[in-house]
Amino acid sequence: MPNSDPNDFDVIVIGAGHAGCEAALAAARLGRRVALVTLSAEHIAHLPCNPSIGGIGKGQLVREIDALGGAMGCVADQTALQIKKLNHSKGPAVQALRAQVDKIYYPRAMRAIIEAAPGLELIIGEAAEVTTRQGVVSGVILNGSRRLTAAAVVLTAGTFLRGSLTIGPKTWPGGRMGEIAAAPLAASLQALGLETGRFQTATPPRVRRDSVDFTAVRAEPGSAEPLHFSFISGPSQPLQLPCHLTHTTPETHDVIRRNIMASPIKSGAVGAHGPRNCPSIDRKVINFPEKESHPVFIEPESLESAELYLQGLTTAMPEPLQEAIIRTVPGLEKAIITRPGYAVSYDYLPPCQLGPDLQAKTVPGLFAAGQVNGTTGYEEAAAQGLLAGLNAARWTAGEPPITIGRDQAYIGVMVDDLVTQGVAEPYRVYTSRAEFRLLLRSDNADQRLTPLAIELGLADATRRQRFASRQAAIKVLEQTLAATKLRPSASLNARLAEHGGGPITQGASLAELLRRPGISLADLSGWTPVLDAFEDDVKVTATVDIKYAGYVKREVARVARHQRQEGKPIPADLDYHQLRGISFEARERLTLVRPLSLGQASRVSGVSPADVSILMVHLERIDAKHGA
Amino acid sequence: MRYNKRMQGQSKGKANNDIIAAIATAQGAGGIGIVRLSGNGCIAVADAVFTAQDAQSLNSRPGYTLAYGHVGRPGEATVVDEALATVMRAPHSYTKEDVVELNVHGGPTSLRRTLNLVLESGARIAEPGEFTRRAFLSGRVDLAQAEAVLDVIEARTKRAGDVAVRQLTGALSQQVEKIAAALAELLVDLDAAVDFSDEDLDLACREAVMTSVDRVAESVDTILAGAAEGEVVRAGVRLAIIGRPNVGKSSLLNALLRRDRAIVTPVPGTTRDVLEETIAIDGVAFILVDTAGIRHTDDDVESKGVARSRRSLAEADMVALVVDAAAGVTAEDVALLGEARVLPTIVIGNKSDLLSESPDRPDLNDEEVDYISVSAKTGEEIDTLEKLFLSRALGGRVLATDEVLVSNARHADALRRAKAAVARARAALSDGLSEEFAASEIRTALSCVGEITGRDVSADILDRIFGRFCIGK
Repeated sequence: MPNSDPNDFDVIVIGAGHAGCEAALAAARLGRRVALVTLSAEHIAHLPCNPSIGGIGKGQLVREIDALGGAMGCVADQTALQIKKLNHSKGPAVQALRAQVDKIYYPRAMRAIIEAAPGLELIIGEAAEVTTRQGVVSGVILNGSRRLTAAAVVLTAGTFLRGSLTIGPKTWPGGRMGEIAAAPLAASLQALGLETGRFQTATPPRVRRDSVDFTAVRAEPGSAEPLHFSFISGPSQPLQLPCHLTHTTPETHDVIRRNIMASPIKSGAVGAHGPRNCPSIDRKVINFPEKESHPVFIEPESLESAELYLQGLTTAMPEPLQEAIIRTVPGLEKAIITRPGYAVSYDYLPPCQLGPDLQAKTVPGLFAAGQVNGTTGYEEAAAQGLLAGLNAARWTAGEPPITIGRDQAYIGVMVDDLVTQGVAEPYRVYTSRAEFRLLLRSDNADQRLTPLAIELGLADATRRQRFASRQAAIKVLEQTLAATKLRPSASLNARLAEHGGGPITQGASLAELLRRPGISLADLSGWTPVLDAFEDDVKVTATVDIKYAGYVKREVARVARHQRQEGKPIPADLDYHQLRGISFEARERLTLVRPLSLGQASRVSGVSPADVSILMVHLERIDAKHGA
Repeated sequence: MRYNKRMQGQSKGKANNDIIAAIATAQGAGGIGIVRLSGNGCIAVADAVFTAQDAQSLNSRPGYTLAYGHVGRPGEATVVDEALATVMRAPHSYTKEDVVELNVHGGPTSLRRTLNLVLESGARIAEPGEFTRRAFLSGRVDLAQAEAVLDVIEARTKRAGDVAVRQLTGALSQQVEKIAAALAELLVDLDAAVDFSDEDLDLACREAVMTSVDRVAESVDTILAGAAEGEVVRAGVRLAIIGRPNVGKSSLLNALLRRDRAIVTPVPGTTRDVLEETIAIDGVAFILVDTAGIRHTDDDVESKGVARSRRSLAEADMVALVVDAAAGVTAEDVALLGEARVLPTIVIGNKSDLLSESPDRPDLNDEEVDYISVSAKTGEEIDTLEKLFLSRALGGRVLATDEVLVSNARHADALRRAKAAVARARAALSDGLSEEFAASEIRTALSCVGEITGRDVSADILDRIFGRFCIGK
């Protein structure tokens, strides 16, 4: 039904970063009329920090976003300058892709997708206020005058809520370097009763390519094999521009130590918590005084730019000191800084205020995703954005929310962590956050999530076909492995002996051989051509199914236990203050988080095992009462 | 979760905060006995039956105070007993409710009359373990400790009581927590190796990790080694005494009972015609199940008797087959032995007093089975027989007095599953598999030991990684 009113939408998304783009696209894919409001069209899907997508844990997230019909994987594939498989020597569950992407082409490619999406309207302006009617979201006021109406608003404001930037002693308002902060919006959210916290993050200085001495640093090439994030991207060979590795020196640390009082983290200019996974060089030198050197990766930013990113040299020291610091790093002695490193402090919404559908518990119709929820990372933001956009779309149609379990996806692990435990520092995904890590792999992200995407309407025809053909290929490969037998031969037995295995004396199936420790499909492909026809991802999935069947089975058994706990619902109106015996802290936290299940309750911070067992007894009693 | 179920069962239909009372000290004449009351309002109930010498009511006293006075029927001058009353105010008590303990003279009459007065004044009699249930529900003790309390209540012998008390004081939890901490420490290394492989970290090498895994496996083994014995100590051993008629089963039972040992509970068989008697051998309870009452008068009764004997056998942990050493072993004895051998069995050659010289081991058609020659009549070798019972029940181990025993089947089962998972982690590492496989098994082991203490350490792992390593490029 075409809507003629240019100010009336189903869903309004505030902010066009990685979270906002996926949120708007997901809602539009479900047929909703969507407004994507951004301060600047030039900064859609901007990469203000590291010019890379993926990484360990994050790479799995990108695959999950893709499996759910999201755009990040495809855009990263299209704009990669280099792509690499991390944890190459580890098992399939922890291998992950990371791409250096072109900082100029990535936003352009995303903008093209946004502008081509039916039902999605890009609006340049400042969202100043979220409006409500009887406590329920009713729309957004733009620039203080234009009123947009919608039943759902997705807040993806990144670092813009009361953002302030710091370099050395100077601090000024701003959401990112050169961009204004969103002050009225922050006030509007507070007026809606939402609580805010304060986080900070920082970025390193950039230098000019022609000022770097590449003879003094080590080249770090991408992987030789063709790699891609998206299940629907064809095989492609990215440019594979190298990154370069150098290290800080004792002199670097000397400069920092002598001038540490000028660092914003010491001077007090930046008081908020920053991400532990990505500390500034100042902090690394303070916290690990015994280390004489830290790695610095020099990364290309774009084919159209001569700027290089100095991963590992994050700092918001005064500019002359930033220069003094890089002078001490081999290869950067004469480097020219094109833009200084800086810190940004911003308001975030402590995510315990959200339900597992990313909807604010006290403001129906308001959803939030990304850095505004206290996370860090483009991938974390995009994954939340997709879930928030999906649920905002469903909310406008009165459909029940979709939640993703910890046993289903890293998205589920992350969202559960956020809304159950809250955040003490900017949250990043790690594989060790997942208790079912062997099941949440890059290779099987589509098996885990694409059926859901198809059911919900997030998967287009290409994806559905691709999914079906990939599943069929896995099946064929598994049958082939069981049916194809290798005859004993001197060369095969010599190869088996290399891996410490005994010789075969009669024909053995590929599956049998694959189960031996140390034997991979690649080892076997030299003895039979039948494996050549299958794609890498298909081989990985089949290998896990056969070679690691025992481990997978035991993890599946743990999932069953997990689901029993998750399956014990807690009444929404349970009054924790009426429950005797539960500790004061647990009572407060449970009242705040309002877990939906006993399993979720057990993960709320401040809730002890004793509290959980008491809660369990109370729930049984409630059951008994209702049963009687 | 036997105890948990029981507690839930009790809780249904019962108010959770009314006033309960019970005699809190052991039955029998002692120096001092205690009647304990718990629940909001229990101080007023105590005031109704207790009059302090200083005429000050208990209700007007602060917590942790002791009042001297007497117990008597409200409104009457007759004194039942002199008493000391202890007032503990919520939440500073075992149940976290108001609690009063009335210390009176320990004779059963005095205690019972005091309790009756309290009950007449508004308290109700506490169910077994109800104080502990309240302590558990108030968050005062965890589940493992609550289970231990029930074990204390049910303890048949002093040693079983000691084991349960040690568990109550958290000795087992402490050891299990140590194992959990060691497992969590292992996960730090395993997880860091996969999550931060591209960082410049000083990770433990695989050999070192495997050594740590071995060390954890050993500590699980150490605790588990006492598990079977712990169960024996907690639950006791059902020992079926079987044999043909007239071989001296009853006199053997009497010989075992006549001795100067605590006869804990003579429990007459309620549903069957067998007599159970409990004796304690070095602190371990043996429930002697005598099938002697069965007589064979005709075929029908005999078949019923055999059925009963078989039933006793099926429920027994151990069998003592009595044969007549003087008359010699018969084919029927050998057949009975064959049937008994599914359980640990000891063959007792009775009536050694009738033999002129020291008896030889008769041919039992079974070289392995323990055989001992005794005289129930003279008591000869009965001491040795008891030691043999104990040694077979404990699998040859000698109990140290201060040992932490896993006395609970649920705990033992969780530890066994943890042990198997640790062994699989070790295998994954020595097979050269990537760390996440071993980590998956270690997580399984952690969740197993977490079942005992209820603690989940998984959230700590990242904190530990960040505490130890310099992360971030």
